[in-house]
Amino acid sequence: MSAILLKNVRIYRQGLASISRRKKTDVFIKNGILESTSFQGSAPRGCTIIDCEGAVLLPGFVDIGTLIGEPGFEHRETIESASRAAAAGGYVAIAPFPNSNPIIQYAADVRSLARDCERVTGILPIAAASADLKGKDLSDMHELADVGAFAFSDGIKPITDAGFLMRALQYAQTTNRLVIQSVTAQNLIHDGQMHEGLQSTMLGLRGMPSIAESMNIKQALDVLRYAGGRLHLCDISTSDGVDLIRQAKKDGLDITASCQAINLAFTDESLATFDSNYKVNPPLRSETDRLALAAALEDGTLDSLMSGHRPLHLDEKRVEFPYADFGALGLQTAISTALTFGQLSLDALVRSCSTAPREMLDLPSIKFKEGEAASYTLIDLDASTTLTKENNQSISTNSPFFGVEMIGTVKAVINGSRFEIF
Amino acid sequence: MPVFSQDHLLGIKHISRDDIELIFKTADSFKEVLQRPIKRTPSLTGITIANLFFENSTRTRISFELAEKRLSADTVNFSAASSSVKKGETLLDTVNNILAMKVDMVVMRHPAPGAHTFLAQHIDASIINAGDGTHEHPTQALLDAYSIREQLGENLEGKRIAIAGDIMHSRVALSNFFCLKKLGCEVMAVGPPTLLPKYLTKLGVQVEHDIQKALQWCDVMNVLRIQLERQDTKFIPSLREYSKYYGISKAMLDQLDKEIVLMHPGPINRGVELMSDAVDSHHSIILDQVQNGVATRMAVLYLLAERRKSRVGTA
Repeated sequence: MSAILLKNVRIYRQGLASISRRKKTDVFIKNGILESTSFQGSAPRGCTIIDCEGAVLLPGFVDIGTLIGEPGFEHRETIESASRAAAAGGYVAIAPFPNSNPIIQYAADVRSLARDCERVTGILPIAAASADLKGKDLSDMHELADVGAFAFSDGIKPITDAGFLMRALQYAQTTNRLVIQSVTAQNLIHDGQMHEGLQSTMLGLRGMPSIAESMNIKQALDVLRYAGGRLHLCDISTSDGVDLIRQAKKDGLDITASCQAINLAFTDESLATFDSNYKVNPPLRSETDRLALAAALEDGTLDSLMSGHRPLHLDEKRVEFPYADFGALGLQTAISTALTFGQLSLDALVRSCSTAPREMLDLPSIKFKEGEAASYTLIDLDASTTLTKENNQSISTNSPFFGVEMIGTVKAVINGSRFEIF
Repeated sequence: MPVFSQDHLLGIKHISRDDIELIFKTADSFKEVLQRPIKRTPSLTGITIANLFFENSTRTRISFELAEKRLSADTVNFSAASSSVKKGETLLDTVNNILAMKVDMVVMRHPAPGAHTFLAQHIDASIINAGDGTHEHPTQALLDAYSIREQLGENLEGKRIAIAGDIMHSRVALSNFFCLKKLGCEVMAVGPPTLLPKYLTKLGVQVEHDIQKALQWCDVMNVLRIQLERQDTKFIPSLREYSKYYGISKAMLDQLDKEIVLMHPGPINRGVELMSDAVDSHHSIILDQVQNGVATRMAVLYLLAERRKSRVGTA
């Protein structure tokens, strides 16, 4: 038997102006099932008791589009280390992109990935949309969905051919799975290194113009209007991009969209010293863009927030800036980034990190109803947290957040009968 | 005596107007040394300088090497073509290996923007940027401004300097913009729109697409080479068309109702951006630039070595 008793915990309820006014209660979870939200009496023998003073119990967070290294890039991250980092970051599940080696594109890959994790954080495989991520031929979507693929995407290698995107959206309808498309494909200017603007001009680095993103979004929206299906656009990084999504939703188009946590925290000014830890994709853009993303997450124009976890080995980062790979760690810092830099309300945080990603992947919604399968994140919203070399759970260290004090400390994650307390 | 404010010369962006003036003043005295029969001072005796050229260069490399020799420094040269870089060695490993042989200063040219900043964060030697990709080429900007000063007088406040050509792929242009703006000049970039970065005006630089108008506007025209080797995409239809609409001839300079100074950082594509008669005309100070390059680089090396002495305590 596994049993957890959460003492003095406040349970999240949507629309509550202040969580601090919520009454404290004791929550009892037995064998992965929520038994009681007003537990009375003493804890049964063998039960794990968590003192939740100051903490709030939230629907468990789910990250979509994580990169976990394994298989093929175990020098960056393994399933084991990614799961540890995810749990420490408050995630009960991660849905990794298929950009591994081998690519997650056959039934056996999906089965193996879903089975591989022994830790609290579950792995929900996303399978390749195209064979070999080449954006040309469809993957075996039907079979992949049958064996447990939660969505289809070419991940960090976005589809560039509109015709293929159309076929992927059409074919995936038989599976009712989401197609996830990053809007970062480089067009107009190739080999861009950072956001195009005054900073890139002063640094002599080739820019990635905002309009490139707008063009990708417009194309994807047009294709969706024509083809139907379920499309999620990730990696939105510009205020123009946000406007396009907002307008498409207003027009009644069934679309969801997301941004990465790091884009809530920094701007292109951070690249002034050529620090490759700030070299990410989508690039860090202007302050206007940063604020637009936070506002769009708050008002729901952007449905979800991705950790944008891109572990890279030191050797892939400690080189001249143009030679460094794109990406930064995200799992352990995304939630506190959203709270600290994005200044998200609790409702927006829960929607963007739990409710929306769950809906996208067709996971059961969490209502704190007795009898439901436990999938919870316990957070102290006010306690400060800092990523350090010691508490970093990732194998890699490519993060600009080391030493940055933020708010929001994860106290525990509970996923069925598995849990981890911090 | 005023001291240089930086441990390295990574770019003009990082130094102050006082630093620039100090370099000029120091260069004045070194220029005088270069007129002597024995063109040598013992200023950098005991200092070892590595010239690391990860990209081809003739004049900058020779200019630095001469400057170092005139200052009595020990020098060692390295070029990527004959190195283990080709075997996949990282920049840090290459440089650390050289530094292990007790090198005090590094003069480096590298194709990657920011390579010097990256290096300065990881190694102890004083670093001088001799060109980093499309970012900066600070000593070129310094010698350019120094040469302009010789022509127009010490105070460059309000002087109009135009820079023409492939601004987009040029490190010389960016360093020149920073330097000239710091000295109070009005600066203009001239070229077809495809060769001008979109956000140039945000640097306080005027933009012009008509070379005739630019010539009428400016006191100094600094012409850049069309860098076909740095263009992986075609930004102009042909050299022929560029030459027709942006090439400068002596006649164009002669018909102006004013004196104009013509500059070029070299190497020149004769018949493309400059016609031969313009290069060889009295307007041109191109060879003065080359001569001033040695004095200016001597000044930079000397000031950084002095700074290093006060920092590490030894020569």
